[in-house]
Amino acid sequence: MPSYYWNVKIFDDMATKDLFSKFRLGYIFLWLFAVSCQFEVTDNKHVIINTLMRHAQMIKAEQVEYGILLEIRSPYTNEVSHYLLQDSITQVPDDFTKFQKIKTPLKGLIALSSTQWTPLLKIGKEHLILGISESGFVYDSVMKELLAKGSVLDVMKNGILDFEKTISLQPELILYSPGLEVSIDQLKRTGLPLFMWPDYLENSPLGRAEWLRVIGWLTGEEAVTEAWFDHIENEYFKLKSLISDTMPKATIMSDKAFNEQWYVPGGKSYLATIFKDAGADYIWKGNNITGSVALDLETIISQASEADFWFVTHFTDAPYSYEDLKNENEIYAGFKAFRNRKIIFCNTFRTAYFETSQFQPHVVLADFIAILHPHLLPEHKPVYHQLLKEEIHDE
Amino acid sequence: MEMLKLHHLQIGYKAQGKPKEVRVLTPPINAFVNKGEMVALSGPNGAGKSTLFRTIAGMQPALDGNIEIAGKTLSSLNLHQLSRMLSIVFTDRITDAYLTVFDLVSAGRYPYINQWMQLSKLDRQIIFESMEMAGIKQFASRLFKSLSDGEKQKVLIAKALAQDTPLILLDEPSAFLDYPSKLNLLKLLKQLCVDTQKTILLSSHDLDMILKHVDTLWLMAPQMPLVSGTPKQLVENKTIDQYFGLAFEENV
Amino acid sequence: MTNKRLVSVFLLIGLGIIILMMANIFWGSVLIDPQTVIQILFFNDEGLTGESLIIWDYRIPQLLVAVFAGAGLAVAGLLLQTLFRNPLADPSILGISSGASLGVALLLFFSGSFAGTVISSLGWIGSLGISLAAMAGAVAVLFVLMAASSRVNHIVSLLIIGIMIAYLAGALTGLLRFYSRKEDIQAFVIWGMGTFSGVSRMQIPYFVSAISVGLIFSIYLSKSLNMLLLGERYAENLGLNTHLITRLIILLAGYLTAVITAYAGPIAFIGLAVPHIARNLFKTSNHLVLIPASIGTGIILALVCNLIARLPGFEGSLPINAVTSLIGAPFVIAVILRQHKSNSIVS
Repeated sequence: MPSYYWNVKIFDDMATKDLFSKFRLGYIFLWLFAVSCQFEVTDNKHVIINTLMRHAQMIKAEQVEYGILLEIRSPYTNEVSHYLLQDSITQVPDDFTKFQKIKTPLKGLIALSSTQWTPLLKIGKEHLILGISESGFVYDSVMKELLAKGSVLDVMKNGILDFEKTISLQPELILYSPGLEVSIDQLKRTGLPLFMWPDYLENSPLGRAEWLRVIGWLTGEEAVTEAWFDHIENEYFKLKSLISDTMPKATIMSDKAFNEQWYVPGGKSYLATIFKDAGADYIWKGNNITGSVALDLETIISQASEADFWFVTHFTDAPYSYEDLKNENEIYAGFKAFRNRKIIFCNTFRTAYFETSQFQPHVVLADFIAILHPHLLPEHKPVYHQLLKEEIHDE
Repeated sequence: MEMLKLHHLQIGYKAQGKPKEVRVLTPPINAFVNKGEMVALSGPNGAGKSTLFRTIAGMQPALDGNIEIAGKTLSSLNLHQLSRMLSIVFTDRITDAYLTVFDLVSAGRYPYINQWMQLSKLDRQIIFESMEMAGIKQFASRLFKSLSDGEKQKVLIAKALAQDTPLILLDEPSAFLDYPSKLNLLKLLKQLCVDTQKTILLSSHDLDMILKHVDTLWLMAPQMPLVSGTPKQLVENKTIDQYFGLAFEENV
Repeated sequence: MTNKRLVSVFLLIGLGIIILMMANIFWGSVLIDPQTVIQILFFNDEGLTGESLIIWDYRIPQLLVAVFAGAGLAVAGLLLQTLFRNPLADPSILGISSGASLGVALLLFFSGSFAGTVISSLGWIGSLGISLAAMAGAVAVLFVLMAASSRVNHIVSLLIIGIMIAYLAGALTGLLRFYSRKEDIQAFVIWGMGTFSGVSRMQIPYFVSAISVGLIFSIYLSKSLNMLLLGERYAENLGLNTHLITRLIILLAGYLTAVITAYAGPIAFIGLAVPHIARNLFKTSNHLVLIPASIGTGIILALVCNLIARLPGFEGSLPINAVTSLIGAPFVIAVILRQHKSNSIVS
């Protein structure tokens, strides 16, 4: 178990991180520390040339003699998958049998999540995308065009897989998120090679973004993706360093009622990390939960109604205002952040939030810093998040 | 020959879960019905007529005593044996939309036929004879639900005839009928007794009607012993007045 | 109905089933030309791995599930309508489907929110786990019903108990939803939409034989069912052990519903609509005819619904539940209106 997390802990340190970012795939680099480690997934010992992930925790990647070994796990389903990426067919020892072998670069794949196909589009590999899911929610104009042309098919709607289309596309790999067991079961029935992609379960912004590196390995475009991620990482750390421990920190709360329950991000979640890195004091930072916590309205009022800021996302194609928020629930109007007009808002319909924000954690962070500490980034133009605008005059 | 014999029969209810608490409706009953006889059971409401009927039909256990049908103790008969000994016409409504008269009458043959319900020549003959006797042969292919109440009652009697049991019980057969139909029905039942030597026991409130047609009258009243006699006897010795109470006496 | 007409209606239904089965095999969201389909079906499928997979692993299993689910639900509905002598009785009315839903809700929601690691480490996630949970829920309700049936004297009381169980299970499911994660709710919603394509090729033999056993057994109940049409008391007077038969019927209808719900989710309306259509088509109350008639009509309805769900544009994602209700409801209304009309002419 501990071996699973060690890479993250170490790379938290900035200095070492810089050192590591110099390592690239293809460099044969014997490195003291790595040699001393053994890949614990198999019983046999392999010479590990390089350990590859720096932030992501759901995936462990090792450069070995035969290719790249991946161990991907989903705490959601307790599933662990093992993959071996190889750019040329080489004979591998018997103990690699439990690894699903994937010949790279791939020539065609199905990417069920937008966080899989977005980086493919960005690195100009859209011709590899054979199918996606839930096309009704696509924001990206390039993807919309590909769908309209028919060069990309929608193979899953409302969580239900179109078995026939999926089979007929004959993808070399299907990238899937381990969230919906029902859908996964349908996928398994196709008999096609699957690749688990639990990126959304990463609870650090850089961890989520780091999954784009896997796209690089799968497509043989690692030079591009490694540079891309280095840039993201650099930018993020630069912004994070603007915030010092001693700065005054405004309190922030998050989310609104859904089915009369509030699902607020846990203290160790992705958003909680963003809040912290942006120099805010998150109301529920204290708990150890990485997912979300369900709270009722009374708890919310007693714990959070006096928070300085309030982070709200909403999915709508109409303008959204304080008035709309109040119409959803009168009680919202009594919150301090509402009274002071300090609601940080993201319309997930009108922005490519779900598709691209994952690969721009530095932009997300900058959005928040610009709102929470305007003097630090006076020139910043908001991309995803901004203070909710007053579109209807006050009463 | 005694077709039905009630010996020291006690009817009533046991409290559920408390077998010692019983509600006995009448004093012990001793009575019998001869073969080919038509007996009417009458009495005011709450006398226990329905309970007695259910007990004789084997649908409710007797508290004490025993019932003999054609010399066999009721409790020793299983459901299948009983179904060939005694047929009943209930007041229950049959509402199925596609049941024809023939279907219903042929149901009387179920105790005799196998799982696949193939009717033999004999079965068919019995069914048609039963319909003929009940005077409904012309309705054979009609839907049961499309008949009048009087016709329906006759169909059910034909069904009981097709069941070919020595004893036929009819629970309030005249309850929903108009006057001519009632008369018609009782004449038919009497005729059947004579022609087929069937034994008929029926319950009824229509005293004036049954007095004219039945051989024997059984009277019941709450907490009074069951008395049996010819209608003439029971009228003359004023037992009827006694069992039906003053209100009835004035009407007579 | 004369024997001649009986035979011709059955032949017509048989023909309809064959045509619909062909349509279901030849037509799908991916176009495979008929020659290839025939090649795959009857000759070798060398070099046609994709198409062969679509036909053998998807279209044919889906077709078989539709056929047997349609037949099973129709018979379950007929059994219950006769038992309760109530035209509104169907497999969902006794709370059996609701019990299955509760079982699935418990699995999905508890595995997510509370005992996640425990349940999922047992490998109880995925369709097999869901099937087992649905089965467990349905069987639990069945158990309660059987216990109740020995304690109540009237069939109507039993019906009311069944309806109350349905409400109870529904309420508990609602309560569970309230405390659940969005992903789990979505999984539950997807399950609730029903599907004929949830059974893999490997599981098909089990499903088909489980339903077949139930269907054959139901035909053996024909005579008892005919007697029950006259009411419990007449049935008993004709030599039927009504207590035993009541339990057998509930057990059989419950078994069919449980198996189908486990594999295909809660499929609405077939159980309610088909017996009405079958009765009206054959104008009979004889279960020896009605049971095969319901089986045939159920198969037709299920196959038609399956085809509609696969219409271009829906791409197989149209919930089968919506389609069955959409097709079934107008049918039942038409049947009832026609019946009403013929009634008033006679009387």
